[in-house]
Amino acid sequence: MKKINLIFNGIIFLSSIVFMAFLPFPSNSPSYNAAIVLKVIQDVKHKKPQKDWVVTKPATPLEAKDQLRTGDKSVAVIRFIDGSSLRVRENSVITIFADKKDRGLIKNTKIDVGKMRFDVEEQKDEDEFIITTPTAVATIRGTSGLVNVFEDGQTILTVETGTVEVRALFGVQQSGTVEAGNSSVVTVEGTVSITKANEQQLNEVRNSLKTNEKFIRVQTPQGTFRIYYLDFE
Amino acid sequence: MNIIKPLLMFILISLQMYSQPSINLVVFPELTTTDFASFATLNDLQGAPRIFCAEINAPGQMVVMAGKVEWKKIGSPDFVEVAWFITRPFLARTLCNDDIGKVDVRIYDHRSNTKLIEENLNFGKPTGEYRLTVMLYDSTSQNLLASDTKNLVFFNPSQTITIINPRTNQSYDAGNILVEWTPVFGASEYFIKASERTDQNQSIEEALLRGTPLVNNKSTGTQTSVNLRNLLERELKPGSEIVLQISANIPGPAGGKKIFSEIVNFSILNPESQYYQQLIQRFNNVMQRFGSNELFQLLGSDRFDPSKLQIRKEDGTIMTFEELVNFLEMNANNILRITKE
Repeated sequence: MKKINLIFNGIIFLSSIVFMAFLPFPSNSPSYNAAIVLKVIQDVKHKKPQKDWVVTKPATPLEAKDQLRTGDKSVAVIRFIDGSSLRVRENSVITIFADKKDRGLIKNTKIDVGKMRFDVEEQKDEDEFIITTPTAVATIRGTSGLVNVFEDGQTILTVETGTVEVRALFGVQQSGTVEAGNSSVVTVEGTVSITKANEQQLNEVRNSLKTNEKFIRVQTPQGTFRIYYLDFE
Repeated sequence: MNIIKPLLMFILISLQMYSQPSINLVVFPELTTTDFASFATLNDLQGAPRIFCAEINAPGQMVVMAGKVEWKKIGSPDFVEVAWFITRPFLARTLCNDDIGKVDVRIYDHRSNTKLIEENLNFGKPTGEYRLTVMLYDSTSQNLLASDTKNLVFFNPSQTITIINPRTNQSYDAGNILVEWTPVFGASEYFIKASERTDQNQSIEEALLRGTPLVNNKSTGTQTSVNLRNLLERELKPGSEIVLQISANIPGPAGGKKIFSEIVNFSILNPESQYYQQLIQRFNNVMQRFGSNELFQLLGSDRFDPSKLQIRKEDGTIMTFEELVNFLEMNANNILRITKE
């Protein structure tokens, strides 16, 4: 019986070695610097997969799969190597993905929740700039606008310049083209409705450019105070 | 024969020189802009610094020179004559503006546009485009022998006094009116004049000139900011409208020149008024949106007095309490934090 067990174990061991020989090597591809953090206002943190959140400082490089989050009244400005930029507004969480293909660079930013302004440079033929939300995927080429993702995953995308292709990821999976001055709502049911952006939405897009910290000095007999605020760059 | 040829040539050249008198205007470009403005009026050519010379080539001839200064204001399509003069006959020679009026070169006639001169001087330094023309006549002043023109363009905006604070149509607390203005190059002294405008039908100019002034041309020396309270001759009335003007004295020939700012009108907040109380309430309300901070705590205490606040933006621009409240309300979502220095 012992002999049979020994033979069985030997077969298992040998099989394992043969099986493992045909498995690909563990994926240890070199990390790729996809973007850089240009500006940090107040509470901004980032993390690598399986690592803890660390405070983000200006000039921090972001690699593929890095996550970044902004706190209350906080902003981060990120620039990609093609010059495209993202202004991550307060209380947002994003993940950067970038993949260099033979002919182009695919940049995919996933926003789980919050608001993010995008100013995307004209993409070359094989390049792509994609924004993914829990309910939608948007393909962007030479466009600016604002994406707003709510806690339930509903996505509102307002386009300031250019056009954006939007597609719902779940449910009925509707899709559409959002042109400048228009806004699209992608629901968790997969519907896409495109309408003319209202004044509030357009204001929100304009205000998303405010990433310059300024202050007002208020001098009182009891001391001098500073009221810090966000202004246009 | 050898002598005749050069002699003929000399005579020919001499005749040519005699028959073709010329005048060449040389304007010194390095002249200071203020100097040119004062010269442009032709008030005191002798006293003015050397600004131009006319190279007159009419050897041995008695000539008459006329000169003209024209001005094209920024934004205006045409030149307008500011001043003109003509001399008595004099023996042709190169002369400069500071020679005119001297023994051998006397002014025979001149005219000037006093309104334009005043406007020009109020700018304090050249603005727009100036055209200087000199004309050379024979001794009868009937036959024009030659002329020359030079244009001088001054792209830099005029030297004016701009009142930075108080600002037109703003409301200020009586105890906290900082008067601030832009400096003027060469000014030796500034003066403030302020009056109350008691009648809405009265223009702000009339209001400044008539009535008992609150501040009657008080000198601030070379200071360009001062607390109005320190200059007041009588107390400001809450709710009243005030008109204010700054002037600068620029030393120069004939006692120098004065340039004036525009007149600003502003009102004095009345702490008893409903509007003022509402303003404090609005400030209170908007501050609540920014969470707990020392400024908010101060607001809640009896020690808070808006009239004691000095509010400035990062670039130094003064804000009134009213402007601060409006700003906070408009930008509540963009307020990041409030800290104590």
